[in-house]
Order: sequence, then C-alpha cells, then structure tokens
Amino acid sequence: MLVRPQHAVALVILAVTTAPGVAQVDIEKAKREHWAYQKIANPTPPRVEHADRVHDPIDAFVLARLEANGLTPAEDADRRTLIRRVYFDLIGLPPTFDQVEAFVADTSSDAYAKVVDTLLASPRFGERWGRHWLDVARYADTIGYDGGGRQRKFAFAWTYRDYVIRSFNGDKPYNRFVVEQIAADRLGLGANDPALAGLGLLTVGRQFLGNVHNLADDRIDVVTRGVMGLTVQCARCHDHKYDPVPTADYYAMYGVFRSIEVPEPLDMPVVGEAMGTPEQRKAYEAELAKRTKAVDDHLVAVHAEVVKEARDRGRDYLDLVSGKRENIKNMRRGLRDHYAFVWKKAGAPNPIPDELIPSLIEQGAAIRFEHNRRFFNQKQRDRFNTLRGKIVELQLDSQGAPPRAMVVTDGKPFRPYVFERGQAGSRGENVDRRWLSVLGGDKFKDATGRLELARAVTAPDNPLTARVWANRVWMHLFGEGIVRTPGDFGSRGQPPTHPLLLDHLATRLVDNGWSTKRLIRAIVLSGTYRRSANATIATIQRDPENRWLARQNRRRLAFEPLRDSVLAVAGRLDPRLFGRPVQLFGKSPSNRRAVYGFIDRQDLPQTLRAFDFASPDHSTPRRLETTVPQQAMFMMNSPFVMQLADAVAAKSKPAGDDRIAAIYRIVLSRNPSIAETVMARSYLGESPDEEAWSRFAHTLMQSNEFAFID
Amino acid sequence: MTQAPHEFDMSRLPATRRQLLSRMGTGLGMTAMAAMLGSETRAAGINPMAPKQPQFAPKAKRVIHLFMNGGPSQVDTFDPKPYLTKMHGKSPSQRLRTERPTGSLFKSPWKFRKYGQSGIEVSDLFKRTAEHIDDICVVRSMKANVPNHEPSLMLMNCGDSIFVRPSMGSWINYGLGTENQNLPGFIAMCPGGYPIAQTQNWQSAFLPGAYQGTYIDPSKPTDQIVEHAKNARNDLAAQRRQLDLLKRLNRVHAAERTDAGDLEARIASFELAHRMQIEATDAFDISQEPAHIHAMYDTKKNKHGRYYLMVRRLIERGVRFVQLYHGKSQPWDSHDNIAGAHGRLARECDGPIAALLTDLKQRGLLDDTLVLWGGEFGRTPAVELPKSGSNSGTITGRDHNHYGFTVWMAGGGVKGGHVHGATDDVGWSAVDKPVHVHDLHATMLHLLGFDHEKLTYRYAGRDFRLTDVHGDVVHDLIA
Repeated sequence: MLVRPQHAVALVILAVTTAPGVAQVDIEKAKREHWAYQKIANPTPPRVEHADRVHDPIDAFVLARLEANGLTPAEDADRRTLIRRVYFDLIGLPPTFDQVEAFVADTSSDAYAKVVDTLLASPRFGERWGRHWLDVARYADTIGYDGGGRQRKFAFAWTYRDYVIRSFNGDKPYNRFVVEQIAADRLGLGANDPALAGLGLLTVGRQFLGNVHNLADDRIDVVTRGVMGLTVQCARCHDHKYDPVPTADYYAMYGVFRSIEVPEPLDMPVVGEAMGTPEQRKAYEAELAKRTKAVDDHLVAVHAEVVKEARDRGRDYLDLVSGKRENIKNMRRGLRDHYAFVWKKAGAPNPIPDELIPSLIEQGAAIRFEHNRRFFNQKQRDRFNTLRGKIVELQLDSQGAPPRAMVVTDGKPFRPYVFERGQAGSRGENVDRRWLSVLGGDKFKDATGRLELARAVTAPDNPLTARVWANRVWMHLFGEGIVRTPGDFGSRGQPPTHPLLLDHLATRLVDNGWSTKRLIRAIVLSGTYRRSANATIATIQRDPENRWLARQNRRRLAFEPLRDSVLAVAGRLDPRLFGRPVQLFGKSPSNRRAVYGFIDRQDLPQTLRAFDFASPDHSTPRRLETTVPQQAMFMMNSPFVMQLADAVAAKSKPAGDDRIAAIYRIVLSRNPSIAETVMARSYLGESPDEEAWSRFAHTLMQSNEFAFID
Repeated sequence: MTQAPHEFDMSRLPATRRQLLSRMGTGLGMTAMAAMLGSETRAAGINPMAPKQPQFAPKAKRVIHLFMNGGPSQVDTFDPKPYLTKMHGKSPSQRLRTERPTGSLFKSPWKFRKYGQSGIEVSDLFKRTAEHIDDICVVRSMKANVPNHEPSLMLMNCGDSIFVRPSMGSWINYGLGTENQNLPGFIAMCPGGYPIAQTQNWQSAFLPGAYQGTYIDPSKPTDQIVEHAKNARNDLAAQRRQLDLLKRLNRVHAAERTDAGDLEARIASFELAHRMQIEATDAFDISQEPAHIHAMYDTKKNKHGRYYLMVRRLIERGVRFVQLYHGKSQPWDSHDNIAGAHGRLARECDGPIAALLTDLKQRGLLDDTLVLWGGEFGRTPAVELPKSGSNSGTITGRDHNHYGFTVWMAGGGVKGGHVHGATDDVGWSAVDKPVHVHDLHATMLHLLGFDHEKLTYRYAGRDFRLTDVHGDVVHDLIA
C-alpha cells in the first residue's frame, strides 16, 4: 500500500481554525502578486547548452532548469518503451506485438510522428481523454439518494459522456468545449444540436434531493475549481480565507446557477440520430404508450378515490376544519385544506347548520382532475413516482428510445443576496449576478448571465482557464503537473515548477485555436516526453521528486486502461463507440471499454473505489494513486480476468512449441528473454494442460510490466 | 497554525517515494516488503494503512459501532419515563414537529428495572445487556438535526447531513491506520443488504479510497463474504506457485529499472492479497470457535449471534473500526406495532450484545475498545397517528425523533455505570446537558487520542474535519 508522492502533499495535516469573520484576502494585492492572476506571458525559449536535445521549444524551457540545477537529462527511451508509453497516454490501450515491431523497424525520420498522428486520429483517443474530463465533471448515471419511489437513474447522462468523447475525438476547441458545457442553450444553436448535450456538465451531479442551494453549490464548484482551479466554493459561508474570493462573489455566481431549470426527461431535446433497429423503435413506442397509460390510469383511479372519499367522509372533514373534532382517522391533508377552503368560502359558520352540509359536501367533492396531485397520500405519491420513473427507465434501457440532451434552461433570473454564514434564511447584502472580483467583476447584463459567465471563463484575458488546461494536459502525459495541485491555483496550491513553460504551453494552446490535440502532439513529440524513466543514482538523489524532469515518470495504469488492456490482449475488447451505459461488474460484465460503464454514485462498486476511481461526487482533476491488496485480489481472483486469461491461452494455441513466446507477444507485445523462457518452462512443467497455459497467461497479465507505463 | 497535529505529517512522511527509496538505499527489495508487511518503523509514510500514533495518549484503540438503524425508541429502552406512563393517553404539553403527525402520549409497554451497582434503569427489552450496566455510559440527551433517516444516517456516520463527507471510520483509519495489514482497517457489516443511503454510510469521499469501509454481508457463506477473496479455480497451493513465478518475473523487471519503490509496493501488494484472502476468510469463519463461545452467543438459534461473534473476531485481529448494522434498510423504524417490532429486534440483539461485552472483557479487549450503541435518532413519546398510505393505521407505533434520544458507549475509556444528560418529563427533547452528534464525534476522537479540530485533510482549498466547524468534547463521559 503506497501513496504516491504528490499525495504526500495532500496528506499534510494543518490545524486551521475555521471560525467565520476572518478578514478577507486583499483582492488588489493578490491581483498584483499571486502568480496565477498575472497575464499569461509569451516567454522566449531560453538558450541551453544541450541544444542538440531541443526538439521543441518545450525542451529549451525544461533543459534550462535542468542545467541550472546541475542535472543531466536521461537518455531517450528505447523505441519499444516509447511506443507503449504513447499508446497508453493517448488511447489507453497497449500496442500489439506487430505494431511495436513495425515501429522498431521503421527507420524513417517521421516514424514516431506517424504513430502519434495515427493515435490522435483514433476514435480510442476520445475514450481515453474523455474519461479524464469525466473525472472533472463528477460524472455518474444516477442522481444519488432519493426516496418516495422516485427514479434514481438519469435517463440521459450517457449522452453527455458521448458528447465529451466526441468533442475530444473531433478536437473541439477547448474554449468552445467549455462554453457549450455552461451555456450551449444560449448560443442560438438549432433545437436539436448535438452540442446541447454538453450542458450535462451542469446536470449530471448529485441531486441533493432537489435542494436548490446545494445544486447551485455543486455547479459553482465544477465550473470554478473544475475549469479554473479556483476554490470559489470555500466562500459559501464566509469570505475565502486564503484566496481573493469574497462571499459576495460566491452569491454573484449562485444567482446565475440558481436561475437554472432542468426539464423533465421527455421534454429534453432529441439530439443525434435515432438509435436501434426499426423493430426496437417500434417496441419502444409501444412500451412508452403502455407506461404512459399506467400513469394516466393511476391518476384516474386516485381521482375517483379522492372524490369518493371527499363525498363519503365530507362530514368528518367539516368536523375537523370547524374544530368540532381534533383528529380524524386516515386524514388526507389535501382534503382537509380543501374543506377548510370550502367552509371558509361559505362564510365559515360554526357550528355548521345541518341544512348547509349537503351543499358543502357537494362543493367538497367537486375536485378537478388537474388538481389531483394535491390530494395524493404517501402511497399514491410513491406509486405515481414509481410509474413515472418507469418511463424514465425505459429511456435508459430501450435501444429504440431517441437520445436526448440533459439540458438546462433559464428560469426567471434570481436576484441574489449573500446568505450570512451560508444560511438561506439569513439574508445579507444584495449582490449582482456578476463575474469574480479578482478577474474584473463585470456585471452580467443578459438574462441570467450564464452565457456571459461562460464567455468570461474562456476569455483570452482570463489567466486561469488556459493555464489550468495546459497544466492538466501536461499532467496526463507526465503523471505530474507543472502545478502539482491541478485543482487549486490559489495561494494554498503549489506554485508551478516551470512557470515560463506553463505560460508557453498556455500561449500555444490559445494561439492554436485552443486545440487540445495540437498541444498533446507538441508535448509528446518533445524530447522531454521521450526520455527514459530510468536515471542515474546521482540524478535520483539530487531530484528525488523529479521536479526538474531529467526523466519521465513511471506511472501505474488507472483502472480503466488496466481493465481495457486485459480485454484488448485477450482479443475480446468490444470496440463499439458510444451509447447507453453497460454493466462492468456482476455476472456478465460487458466487454466494452470501461468509460461506458454504468456509474451509480450511490453504490459505487468496491473494485472501482479500491482502484482509486474518481469520486463521482467531487470534481476530481487528478486521481489519488494508492496500492492496496484489494487491487491485487481483483487481478488474482476475479472470474473476469481469469476468463480473459483463458482467451489469451486459446489464442496462443496454434503456436506449437513456441507457445510461451506467443503468450508473451500477446500479453506484453514482445518476445521473452531466454531467462524468462526458462522460468516459464520450469513453471509449466513437462506437459502443461490448458489450465496451466491459462494460469501462465494470467500471471503475465498480473505482472508489473503489464500494469505500469515506463 | 502550521503545527502538525499528529504523526501523519510532512516531517515524518518521506516527501516522495523517491526520497524514501534514496533513504532506504537501492536494491530495497525485501526491506520494502518488510515495511509493507507491517514493520511499523519504515511503514509509516508509504503505506496509508500503516499503524500511526495519535496526537496524545489514547484510551481507545479501536471502535465497534453497533448501529441500530431505523432509530430505536429511547423511552422503551434506556430512558425510563414514569411521567409518560402516568400521562398515557393525554395530549403532550408541547408537541414538537416530526416527520408525521403524532397524537396522545403513549406509555412504554416494557417495565424498567434497576441494574448493577449504579442502579441505572433499563427496560426489559435489554435485560441481558443491562447486566453490563456498570461498564456502560448512557447518554440520554442526544440531539440530531432533522427527523429523516437519510440525513440523520449521514450525520451520525459522516458528520454532515447534506454534503458528501468521509465517514467516521474513514477518518479514524486515516488518523490511526490499522494494526493488521492482512485485513481491511474498516469493515461495515450489514446482514442481508445495504442500509438506507447504501454505501454512502462508509464512504471515504475525498479521502483516499484505501480508507473506505469494506462492505460485508455476514449472512453469506463464509468464503463469499469478502469480494474476490477466493479463487474459484486455483487452490492456495496453485496460486502460491503462480505468485512465486509472478514475483520472479517482477524481480527481473524491477532490476532493469531505477527508482523502483512503486514496483516493489505492487509486488508486496500481491503478497498481502495472498495473505488477506486466507486471513479474511479465516476471520469470518466462526466454526473455529469452541462450543462454549457458540453457546454464549447463541449462534445456533440466533443468526445475529453469529454476526456479533464475527465482530469480536475482527476486533481481536486488529481491525480498527467495525460497524455492524442491525439489518438491511431500517429495521428499528417502528411506525407501527412498536411492542411487537421492538420486542423482536431486541430479542435478536440483546443476547449477542451482552455476549460481546462479556467476551471482550474476558479477553481484556474492552479496556481499549470503544463500543457505541445507538441509532440515527430516537422515537417520539407520542403515538404516531394514522396517515393514509404511510402506516397501517393501528395507532401502535412511534414517529422519528431527533430532539432527544439515547446512545450508549462501553469500554475504551468511558465512564461505566454513568448516565449523562436527560430528556424532558416525557422523553421528547434533550433538556439537560444536550449532546449533539458532533459532540459525540469529538468525544470519540478524543478517546482515540485526537483533538477533533486537528485531525484534518486538505481538499479543494480547505482543511476538512469530521466535526466540520462544530463539536465539543463531553468530558463527563470520560472515566
């Protein structure tokens, strides 16, 4: 069990009192002095001694710091290591033996660039990088806790997931990507534009039983910390203690998100093509009609029951509302209120004259169908929720249901005011819906201001968004960011190790039309990326944390690429893109990529948690990385992995005598060494059966070589 | 402000695994392995579950939380109210608003009797448990925030009824690690399925996943209790051979690489896993217990006796935090027929609780094991009124009550034979020395050797703690 170094930082425990009323951070001073709020510079790459090792300006920035610190860059990684690294980093899957060999044999000067371009163009790219973003978006397919028979599954969270994957595959400019996720509905797109699905960023979070304050809070966090590395959420109850975010800023933004409304699933716009076969679509229509009718039937039945009760027990209710009796059995609050109204309208005579009673009961029993819901008792309400939930569930389960975007719409603009100490009941000063003070504080003028907010987040002069994204792209390619706290660019985060490089990357990102793929391409083609993860003892001792990047970082595969690789080497990976979520665990786990797995935030599988899967309740720019025995137990004992080991063994069968080598080529994309062959032979014995071959394949699939990127 | 509050701090934590490696020298192989396998000296920095020292000398080293989920009634168990009996059938002088409408005052169907030297009164529901009353500290003045299950479960387990926060067991594992590396440090047991709010009850939220509670259904057959703990095809010998090959291959691989601390850690994790599958299965295998122990827990007739015995086996093996729910969903939620329902529930757990306390005591474990008994809230002293569609309409049950309820603790440095605080005459609201759930948490952490304000974790720009911005240690509960 090992916590990686970067988390050592997170594990530091500091005693901080959280009493309210501490003086707020000086905004002007922070604006002047804190590195993250300074304009993004376009620094000139420095001159370096090792000019021969500069493939890209990136290298100059890194080499300058290495040389200043008296460090020598490690050798370039060998070709087999490099291709494996870049495959995992870009598409989250290993290269096959043939792909490795072809690359090793390709002596052309652009051999590596060709591999990189192929991977960037692969549809697998969006599945890998989309998952990084889904961590930030705290993606899940369920709403979290709720009661009363309400449906807990989202019908269409998956259309957001697909939008994210498509956006990465299509290299949607990052600024556009962010704007769409905050305000696609305000961009004047067509009613069925696929980009509307991006609004899922605001809607796929936990639903907090519908509590508007917590919903707004969650959305503030995902936008500010998730996109800008600014912990605005800290200012909910009092001014931020360390960063220039007064409470007024929080509620200025609260006003924007509080104004949001989310339509019912069937009122969400259809996006993308109809899915499923014509038969499936027909079956869907028929089932929908059936389930809709069940809701209607329920309403009719409840109405009849309520009318009957209002008539039969009118006398009881009149006794109750006129104070003649304190309690009646099985009282419906709705009917009590209704009778109170009828009685009052009649002039509230008390006691009620007998001759008036029939006409009061007549009025009491005149209940309009559309007011039905007011009279539900708990059981009827639960039943109603359950039946409506079945319509939602059909949207999720039926391949014939049209995909819809989880949009938001603007309701009436909410006029925000500060909630003293975060309490909704304690009204403080009024605030405008406006941008963050430290970034200008401009007042939003249009409607609820959501589009203006989105534009402000991605404005070219916003120093945070481009830096944060450039840093995260770097982090996913090196295992460490230039800023090692990728979700906190504030004063309590870590400053960049290479501030000039960070600005260089951010500038390139923006100058290249916010193209994520071009940024990735530049980084993976740099000499810095291509270095070996091995270094001399002297280098390791001088820079144990590898802050100066004399070498690459060896990284352990996260759950998804590890699991997907097991499927891939077994030849069982189902390459279909997109669509409704699948089950990753249980009796018949899916062979689709893990990114398509159904994520229940209320019942997250223990295996995912054991592998440090990002919490779907917290925007997670970077996963923790622990090594615990439960991870090993999954690899050792899960039937899923063992069955795929069988598949590897079966695939290796025609190879005859060279079956050991065949299994090495399938699992590790290389031939075994002589020593390894000897070890394998001694393990397998004279005449191994199929079980033994499977166990051998299984062993290689559990190996460190399989689980780490060098 | 930057004073490090306990051992898990930067000064004692190697800043990185690379530093660790350089400190340990290269070729670390078996050294790292030894560290992983529980040698405390070197393990304290690299292993999130390694045992760690608290901030000051603790009275308790581990915790058992017997969770009566659903909310047991205080006036029927540990909070006798003669005045309620006297006023039976009358309107309460003050009616506090709870989840559902309530009617007249409703006396307890059970008699209370005095027990032990302390003479504390306990109802006939818990007459076996009551025999231990001189080791028990009864808190009769508990308070929570709202009369609803889910937020109250979250408050009791995670210290916040609204936001997604780490559970108490996660915090305690974060602070103390665990004594036995071959078992999870936090085990949440709930027979038959999940309680309300499901896995959120033992979540680690933003703390590392290693601190999350491992859920176990103790009603399953022994070898199916821990996920992936048994290989359906290979026996242990075959697996050992496979792991030996794996280790050799991994050694060759590591030898070709520098700075191999992460590789060594993963190698060690397979060895740990191999032991865990043996020891975890073993820990739940109560068939190894002698006959007199089975008799004491009444395991033949009472399946709950089996679960309580498992709790003792886990605690004995050094699991830091064991939580046992009474059953799936919310068994103690007696809106109807409280006489029947509470009667049955108490019959299920009273004997096992008494057996567990006896057993812990005879093994010398009770001194430093803190046992907490209670629900997420209590129940109203007034009867719940019929509500169409919500209850059976028999007017025989009680509604939820967060204004005042009872929990008790035993062992782990609490004052035995002691009653703290009181509810009003009828038992509705805590009026004397109220103890909020945050105060309970602060006190429990104190017993474990932590200042609850200093056991913090940095997340999203802020230092979080179990008690958030609340909580006072209740020194009157401590011996």
